[in-house]
Amino acid sequence: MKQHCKYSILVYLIATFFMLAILSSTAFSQQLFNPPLSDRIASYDMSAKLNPDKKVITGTETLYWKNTSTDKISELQFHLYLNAFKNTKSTFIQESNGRLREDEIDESSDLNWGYIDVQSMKVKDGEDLTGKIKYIQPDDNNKDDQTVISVSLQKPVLPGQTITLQIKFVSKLPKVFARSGFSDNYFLAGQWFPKIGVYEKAGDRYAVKGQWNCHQYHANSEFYADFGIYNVNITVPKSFKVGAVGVLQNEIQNNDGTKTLTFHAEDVIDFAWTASPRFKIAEAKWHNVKIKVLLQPEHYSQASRHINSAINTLEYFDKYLGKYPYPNLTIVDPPLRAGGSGGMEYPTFFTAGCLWGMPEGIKYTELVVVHEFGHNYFMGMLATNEFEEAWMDEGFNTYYEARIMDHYYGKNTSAINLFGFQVGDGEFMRDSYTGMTNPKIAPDFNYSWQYKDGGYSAITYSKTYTWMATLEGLLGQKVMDEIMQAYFERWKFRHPCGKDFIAVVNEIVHKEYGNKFGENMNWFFDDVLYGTNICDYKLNNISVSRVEKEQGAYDSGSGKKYYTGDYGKNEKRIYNSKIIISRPGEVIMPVEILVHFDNGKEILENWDGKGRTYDLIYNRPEKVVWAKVDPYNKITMDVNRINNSYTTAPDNTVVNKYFTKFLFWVENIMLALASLF
Amino acid sequence: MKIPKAYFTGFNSAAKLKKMVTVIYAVILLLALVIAVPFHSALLNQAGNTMELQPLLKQFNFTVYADFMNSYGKIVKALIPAAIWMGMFYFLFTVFFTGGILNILKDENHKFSAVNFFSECGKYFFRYLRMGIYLLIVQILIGVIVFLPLSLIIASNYETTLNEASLFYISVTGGIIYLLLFILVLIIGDYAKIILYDNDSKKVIKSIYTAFKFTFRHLFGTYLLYILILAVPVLLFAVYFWLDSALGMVSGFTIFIMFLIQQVFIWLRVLVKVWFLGSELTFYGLINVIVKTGHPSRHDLAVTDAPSLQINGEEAEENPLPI
Repeated sequence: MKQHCKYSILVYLIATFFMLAILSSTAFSQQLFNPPLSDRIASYDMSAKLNPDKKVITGTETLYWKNTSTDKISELQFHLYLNAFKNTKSTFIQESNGRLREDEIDESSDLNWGYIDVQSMKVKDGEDLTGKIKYIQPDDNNKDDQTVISVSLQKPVLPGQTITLQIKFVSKLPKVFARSGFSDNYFLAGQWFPKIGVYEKAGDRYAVKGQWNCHQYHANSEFYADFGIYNVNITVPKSFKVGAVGVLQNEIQNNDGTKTLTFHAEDVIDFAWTASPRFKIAEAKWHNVKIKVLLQPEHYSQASRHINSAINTLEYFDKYLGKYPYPNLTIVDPPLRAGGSGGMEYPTFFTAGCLWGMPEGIKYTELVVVHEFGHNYFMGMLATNEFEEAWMDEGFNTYYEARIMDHYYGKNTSAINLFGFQVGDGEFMRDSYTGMTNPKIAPDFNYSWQYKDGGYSAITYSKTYTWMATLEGLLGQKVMDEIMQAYFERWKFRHPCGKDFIAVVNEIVHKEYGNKFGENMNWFFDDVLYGTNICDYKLNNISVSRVEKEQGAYDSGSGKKYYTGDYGKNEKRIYNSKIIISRPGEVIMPVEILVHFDNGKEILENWDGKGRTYDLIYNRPEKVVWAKVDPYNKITMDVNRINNSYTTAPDNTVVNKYFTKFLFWVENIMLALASLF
Repeated sequence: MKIPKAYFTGFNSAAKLKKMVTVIYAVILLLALVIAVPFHSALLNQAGNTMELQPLLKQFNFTVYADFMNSYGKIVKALIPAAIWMGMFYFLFTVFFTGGILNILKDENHKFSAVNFFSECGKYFFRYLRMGIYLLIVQILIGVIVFLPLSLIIASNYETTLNEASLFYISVTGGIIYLLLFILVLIIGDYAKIILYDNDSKKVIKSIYTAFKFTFRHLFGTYLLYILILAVPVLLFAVYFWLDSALGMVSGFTIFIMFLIQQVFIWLRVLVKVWFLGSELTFYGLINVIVKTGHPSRHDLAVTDAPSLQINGEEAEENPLPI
């Protein structure tokens, strides 16, 4: 009995061990991050079946939404983004006039419109909400816009409680012109499902009381969402190749000529996917990150350009900002006629863009890959509100894009390096702002749909890059990296806002420099972020004159002493050098001035930049030859660097060079026109 | 052997006319200076005392260029249309010079006499001006004929093709077709000038028509000859760009050397322009000699204001005057 009992216990223990092993292996295949990286407020289990002929996705969604506030919430709000493409009265089409990023809506066929219909919505084991769905327009009161719905709940969601909703929906994808849709049998399903808004509790970002932050879909704006887990089954024809946010966990061949792929993603804010039978796949690995590129066959020769730039970006972010936590990355190369879906970012998944035969010297592909990957950080992990503060994702990301491009492809060659024509990405971004006809068109701190007179792109992307680079110039790259690392570590997998970033800047700058830049850096942000002022410093003039010695009669005791004004034989002559610097722009920055004397000596001066003009006067045996404001180009946002220096000994070599070139090409133009006869 | 003979004879003729080439070059230089000197003054005025242009000495620098254009670009941009207007003005000079050039080319000794040159320039100016306008209209029409369907083809293909490579090939094919037709019109224009001058004719359209027939009857010869000469300025451009990158314009000395090279290049381009006419004149003459020596055909015929000749009962367009 005793023996038997022992044997039974042993069998039981072995069986339990195997059971646990099986269970735990199953669990781990599902679980990527333990502990979770985010608070996982909104998680989705979804099934999507694509009808490639009708361009329709039939979907079911189980939403688990957690109330992390202390409020009793009796209303839910959802985005129905695809309704932006439903008709010409939507806010998106009204604002964009049917054009976005060089692409235009094609109204020639009924098939080209897009929309999403919520067929049913109900609380699991509870209230049917379908009849309570109400379109709302929180931003512009455009009653025809159906991109946001509100649903009232009979039974509120209590603090800490999770509500489970079961939703059935049909998404008709539009013909691609803005971000998502179809082109022939290429599908990019982005913002394709009913997506719950963000409930901002009091204290979150700018919220003073609990409220939904669920904006309509605007032409300029992108998205804002909570983190969660996504389990998504995608059913497509067997010939289709599929890529999606997250990790592919399973693929089943169905009997009806379709297959179902299961993707799993954790701690992400969105889920998008693509499908096409034409994709040709290239794969690579960087450390533990699997990289998959779904390319158009005609672009396959450019697979390495995608992969290398993705690896460069992973490496750079890892070194200078923070770790990329996800196990994989999927890059999609859209076809020619779906260019509007290119350059779009989703967590672990983004669309790039390239053209057949694009020369290596044009770094467009690299630039798009670097930029879109960067959104995994700025928006993907630092989940800012793109509707309200686009500068925090597009602008910060552009700053890193330029840094990475310049680092790997050369400061002056990272955008174009072709036939002697060279442009750096940072240079290009700076010029996009400094070359604006009206750089005062709007402040950077602006809701993205409120750039009514244009300038969204130049201000949000380029101006932010320019002042971020200026901040780096003032503080040095080391301190800038410290700021960005602190910001990332503190706010990753949360929803930071502008004041959170400024607080980090103030803290680190104070820690590193004390009061060198003032009590805080708010003065900087007042100008560059909240204001529209421009920055320009100018070295107006240098004048040099000999200092005359005393001449004439001077009282000396009881008599007079006469001076001839002549220098003694061995006495050095003294020169008065006067340098006049001015600040034509309104932005006030501390600047350095490098002064060069005729004996080769140089002095670096500092000016707080507060006055409109500033004089430097030297009485020395040596004469000032030249002087430069901001000699190390730290103030990237100075709109005109040509006036930053002045020399008393002008060297016209460059002028002569361009004069001869100009003359030569004018002669050639004349000969070319004459050759028509 | 007609093509090599025409090619080298044309070159020899042009080479003997250095004085004339220099006169034409001087006109180009003077006209170009009208634009370039204000450019130089504007540069000095706006940026004479700055050191920020220095990076441009070694190589192109986008930031310096962009800042300069953002701040002072209006001055430079204003000069570009002026340069195009000056080009059109020079177009008139080219028309004007044609009669004089052909006069000297037809002279056996190729002796340049300013009096003869300019009197012939004046004599033929309005005829060639009409011809120039007609040929420009033809060029524009060809542009429309090629590019309108091309854009329609590309637009329709854009809706169906999955691959931009096919669009690229269509565009390149269209571009090549246009280029071939463009050159063809230039060739016809050159022979029209020769025929009109040769016959001292005032019938511009008929000269063009005759040249059209001549060119098509000797398409291979006329086209090959033109391409062979055209290869010279293409080669010159290649050499120029090589020298520009090899020497660099990084010091006062190299800038001066490149300035000389640039001006020699322009001088050579003028020489090549004369070479074209010289070789085509020779080629036209060689063909006509064949006609006159017993291989009659109704081609290669020139226009005359005199009563038409009859060959085999048909109206001939040939002027049997020796070339």
